[in-house]
Amino acid sequence: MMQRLLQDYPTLLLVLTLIIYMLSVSLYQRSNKHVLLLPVVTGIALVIAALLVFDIDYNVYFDSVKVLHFLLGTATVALAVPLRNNFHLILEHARPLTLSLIAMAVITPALAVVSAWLFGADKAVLLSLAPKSISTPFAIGVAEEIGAYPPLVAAIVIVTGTVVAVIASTVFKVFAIHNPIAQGFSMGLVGHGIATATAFEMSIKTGAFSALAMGLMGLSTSTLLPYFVAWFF
Amino acid sequence: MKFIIYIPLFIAFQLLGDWLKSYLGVPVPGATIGMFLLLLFLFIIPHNKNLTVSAQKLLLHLPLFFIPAGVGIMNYTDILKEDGLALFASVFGSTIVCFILAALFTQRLIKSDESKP
Repeated sequence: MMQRLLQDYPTLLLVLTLIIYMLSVSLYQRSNKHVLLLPVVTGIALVIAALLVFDIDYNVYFDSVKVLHFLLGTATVALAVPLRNNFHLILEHARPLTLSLIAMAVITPALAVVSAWLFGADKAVLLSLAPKSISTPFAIGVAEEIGAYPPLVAAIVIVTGTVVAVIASTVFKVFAIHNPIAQGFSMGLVGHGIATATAFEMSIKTGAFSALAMGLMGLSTSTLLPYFVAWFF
Repeated sequence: MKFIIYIPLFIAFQLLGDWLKSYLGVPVPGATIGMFLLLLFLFIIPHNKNLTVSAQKLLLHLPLFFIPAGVGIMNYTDILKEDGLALFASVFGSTIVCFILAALFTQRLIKSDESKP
């Protein structure tokens, strides 16, 4: 009966997503912010489970929650506000941040491709891995440019961001990364928007630097990657 | 509730960015263009506390906005079976290595820059 209801009234899928999100957030808070229970992880997992149980096609689902996807763009625009509020800090550290950005814009896609190549992945999969550290809209744009599979790229990008969000606090502890600017910047460089969401939970400052790194990494990788690919493939 | 009135401002910049993207035909996402335009705009207008609160409330729910795209993973179980090991090595292995490098590198650079006169 539930299945019929969801198929006849696709708007209920939006309601279902909101309920699942609320449950995920409260689960996360009750677990004392356990990293494996990040709302983005449990949220996506529970929605997939629900769609499989009620046998609902992904395209039908996406159509009914398009408004949430639209708001992802709105939230991206809103990242300008913490950037503005922390702009004096950005200027102050312009030199080290630029150097770090240049290094990681080369190392990240190279290491992503080489590690998969060692395990014998085919060319289209290798190309789909190259833009894995930049936020989805950038990555999709590059994917089309270099001949990768856009939906696979989206999936890889999301898992990559989640990995960074999950390991961030442990890495900071183990490697003694205490500077919130370094914390935020590295999260945004490698883990784009998903890690930025987690960075904002640590502090507004950490989040602002993650947002900055995400934007810069997206801009530089999406401009440079098509040239890299033309050289190496 | 004053913060609500700023959401349409963000949407206006988002649509402006989308429009510029298709007008100029650049491979940069519309929302990113919108973000940089809003950043410029924020240097013109005086500091506004409600605007800051509004952005914070929206960014608090960033994980929710990732769900629609993230659920798309469910359509890729075939490739996971075929090239699973390579994907795993890259998405987990290289991501973890890169993240550690990025964190160490950024912190080291900031420190050495600060110690200079």
